[in-house]
Amino acid sequence: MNLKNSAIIKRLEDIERIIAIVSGKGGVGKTLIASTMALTMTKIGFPSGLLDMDFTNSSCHLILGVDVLKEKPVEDMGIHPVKVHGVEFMSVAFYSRGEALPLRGIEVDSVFRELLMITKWGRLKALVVDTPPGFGDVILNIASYLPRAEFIAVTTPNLLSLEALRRLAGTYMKRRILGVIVNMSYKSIRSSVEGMGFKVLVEIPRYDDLEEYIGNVDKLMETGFAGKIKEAVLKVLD
Amino acid sequence: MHEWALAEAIVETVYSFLSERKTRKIVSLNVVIGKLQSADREILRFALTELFKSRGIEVGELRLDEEEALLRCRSCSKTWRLRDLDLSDDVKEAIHFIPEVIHVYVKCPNCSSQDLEIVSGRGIYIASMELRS
Repeated sequence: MNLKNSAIIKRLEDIERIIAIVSGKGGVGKTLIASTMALTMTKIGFPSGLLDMDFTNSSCHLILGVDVLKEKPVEDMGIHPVKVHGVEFMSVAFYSRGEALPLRGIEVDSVFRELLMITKWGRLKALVVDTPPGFGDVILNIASYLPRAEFIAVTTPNLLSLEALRRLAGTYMKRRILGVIVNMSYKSIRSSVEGMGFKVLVEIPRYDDLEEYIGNVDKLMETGFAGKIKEAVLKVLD
Repeated sequence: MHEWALAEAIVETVYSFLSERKTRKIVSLNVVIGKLQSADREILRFALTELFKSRGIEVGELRLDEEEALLRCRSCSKTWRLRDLDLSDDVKEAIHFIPEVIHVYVKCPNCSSQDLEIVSGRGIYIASMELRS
């Protein structure tokens, strides 16, 4: 008998909202958006967590400036996430030393269950989940095993990225999408996104200097990018 | 104690299974602990006993068995046991929490592939449960 989903759901019962950041296309900025959202929510008084579910190639810790070789989740009747700028943060990178973790689908499923089963988040207003690109195991697991989970889709004005968003609109996950964040925007695509039946949470211009703030949360939170994320957060929490 | 979190998952699974059958009594329960997870048997037993009690579940016999960790290379099909490996304590601890991180630390001794299958001994599961009829 496999340990049931009810064990996972119970573990997450003190979390008011679970919000997964998704996109069909890679390179649209999901990780930076997920990390900044969790930081913003916590900063404005909504204690939040951040869960990196891009297991094979985790990188939220790089954005948060967490040294996974030095900082570790504390073990006490379960695993307690590492607190970073007030955000409860959990990642497989703590156990993989931040190296690539080559996994097949069934193993992704096992890590998904294990991580959710052993992590003790405590009471949170929101848990933001960073996900790998595409419509694979992690997204399906979130959609199927976490019935309370909501999604925020990310796209850029790039045609391939927009096409991935159109495909997402054709899946059963559409009704759980709170809205779309248009990132690296060099032209408005609001009408295209709304035409797919989605609400635009925010259109974020391209900021060429963002790279400089990776790993420096204080500076990151002062950027125009973080200001735009705050706009999206306020709409989501409204 | 990570064992407590594992015990909670087992108890929650059993509780939901028993609820569907409208009973709180188990004649015998066999839990298997995979070597990769290297959970402490006594702590796990204690945690299970306490948590079952708190949930009002009566367990006649609680058996905890260990299962050898068997790995197989998907590239060359070599199969080997974990006990053949020399792993440092911090790596063992990482694997203890998330067994799949073994893909970072262990390569096939024959062809060095990291595409390994954990054939047995991954984690904790309920092997059997006998209910009072």
